[in-house]
Amino acid sequence: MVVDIRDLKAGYGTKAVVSLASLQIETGEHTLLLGPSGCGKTTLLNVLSGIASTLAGRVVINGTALETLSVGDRDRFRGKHIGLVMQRLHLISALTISKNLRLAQQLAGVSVNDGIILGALEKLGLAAMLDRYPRELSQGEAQRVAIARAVINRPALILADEPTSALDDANCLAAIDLLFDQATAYGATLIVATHDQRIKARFERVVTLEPYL
Amino acid sequence: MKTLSTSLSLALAYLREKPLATILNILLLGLGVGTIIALALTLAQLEEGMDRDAAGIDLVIGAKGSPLQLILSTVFHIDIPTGNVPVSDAAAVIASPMVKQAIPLALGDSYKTFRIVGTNAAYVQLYGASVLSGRMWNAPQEAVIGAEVARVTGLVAGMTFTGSHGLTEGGSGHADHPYTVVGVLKPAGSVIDRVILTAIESVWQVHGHADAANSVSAVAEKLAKDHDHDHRQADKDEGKEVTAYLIQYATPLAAASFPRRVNAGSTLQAAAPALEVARLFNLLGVGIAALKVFALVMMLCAALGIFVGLTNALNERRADLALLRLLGASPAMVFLTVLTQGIALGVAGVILGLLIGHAGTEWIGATLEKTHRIALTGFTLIREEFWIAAGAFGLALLAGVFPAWRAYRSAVPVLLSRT
Repeated sequence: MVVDIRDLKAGYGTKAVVSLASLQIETGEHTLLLGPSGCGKTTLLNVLSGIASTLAGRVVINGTALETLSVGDRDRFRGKHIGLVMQRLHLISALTISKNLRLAQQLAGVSVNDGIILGALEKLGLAAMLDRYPRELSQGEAQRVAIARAVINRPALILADEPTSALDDANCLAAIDLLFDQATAYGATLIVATHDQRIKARFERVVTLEPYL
Repeated sequence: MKTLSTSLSLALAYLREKPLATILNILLLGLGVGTIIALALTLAQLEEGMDRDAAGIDLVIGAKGSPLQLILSTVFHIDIPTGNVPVSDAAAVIASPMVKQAIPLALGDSYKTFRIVGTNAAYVQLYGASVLSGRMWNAPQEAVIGAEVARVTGLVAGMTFTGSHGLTEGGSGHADHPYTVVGVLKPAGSVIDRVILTAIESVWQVHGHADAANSVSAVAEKLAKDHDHDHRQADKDEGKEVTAYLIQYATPLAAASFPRRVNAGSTLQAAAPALEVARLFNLLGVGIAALKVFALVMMLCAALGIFVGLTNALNERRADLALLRLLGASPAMVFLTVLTQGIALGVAGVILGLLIGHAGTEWIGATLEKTHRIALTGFTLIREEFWIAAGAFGLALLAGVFPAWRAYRSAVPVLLSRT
């Protein structure tokens, strides 16, 4: 089991935004977190990645209870075990594509491996983009690089927050296919949070969140 | 170590991304540091050089006028003299028991802007100089040249030259009274390197006082050995003039009364090099202080520029900071990445400032050497530079600390919510 959540209450400060009695996700599963805006999808992803603290309950990722980790340990844990694909936080504009990916390896505390970087980019058809800067890429290319960055450290869990909300129908489905392919190729569990109903049919499991009152 | 290298490469990438702002910040800091360093180097060398040139000279006696001008012209040879004084007037003054040694100087001519100094052997001894090639002069119209004179003019023993009036090139000459170089002095690191020495009788001969036998040199040299001078000598010196006497006191107590006595009781003027040099630096002090304040303002502007630049960059790069945290960077690493930008700008600014300061001093030195024969080099280091560099670096560091602290304190959810 990669994700084990029990009696969770999470939010910011003392204000709870999301409440979840229980959620278990097995290795390799592709799970969709669905719900209207403000229901706590992003907050739940933040809790799973160790960015946000829990107010109550227990969150275990890949056998590690996050509440037992210090802030620094959570940062390192996230870098090593979790791949993130955010809607807007794509790439660092001052670095080339290869340096963006090398940075992800350095920050995760793993050895920089250009072979892995090139391999990941080749799988996504981006091998020629190694020395380009993010501003020289199309939105679709930038998103594929972000996906490559999420998988190069072979994370146990890939979390994607609204990865398709800015894409048209064709690109939306292509992006989801890509995430599926990459998660499968690297043996990672995939959780996608979205309010985008277009991709619902692709997931074997859908968890719908209700606004916390 | 890995964190440091990652922070450094990321910080440098951020600085490269905004080349104009980066270059301007470095340039501003460099100009401020460079100006202060050039000032410090120039002042330190001028003070050191003047101290060296005036060492062993307690007092200068010459014609009435500006005491500073008297010192600048007779000790440092960078100004025109206040005039000449009759040897007969000075004889009684320098015969005082308070005077241990009086070195006569007769000035007026120069060769290629190097002053021709009519004097005696005691002048060479005063600066501890010795002959590198050739010999000392022992007759009128023989000249011994300083090392710098030899280097610049190419004169060597055996060559002849003629002096011209004044200190600048192009003055009317004395073609009928050529000098013969008989010796070149070893470099002494003082004003003697930059003068042409000859017997005082040469100067009289060139300027129409042919009776070299009645030499004031003889009077002065005799005085050094024995104060029991002959009053009849004054008659023989009738009509002879000198520009000044460099005086060494027989006792330190002389400083209290002797100058006052000379200034009050004769047609001569007495000026102490130490006092006049101090007065000169006091006069220069206002301008120097203004330049220092200007340079300091430039450095503060640079620090402010770094602060504003980093703070703006911080606001623009909230998404990047959040991303760094999401990828596993600790708050400390984010702090270091922002601070490293300030450090990099500080280091680059200080290095540029050192280069500007030393190159500027070298340039000032080259200019002053041509116009005023003042030795100044940029190829030297002084302790003050370390403090200037440390201060500038500290300012840049300080300018980086606040933005870095803000980045450190920013919680990822807050960063995410604002991107």
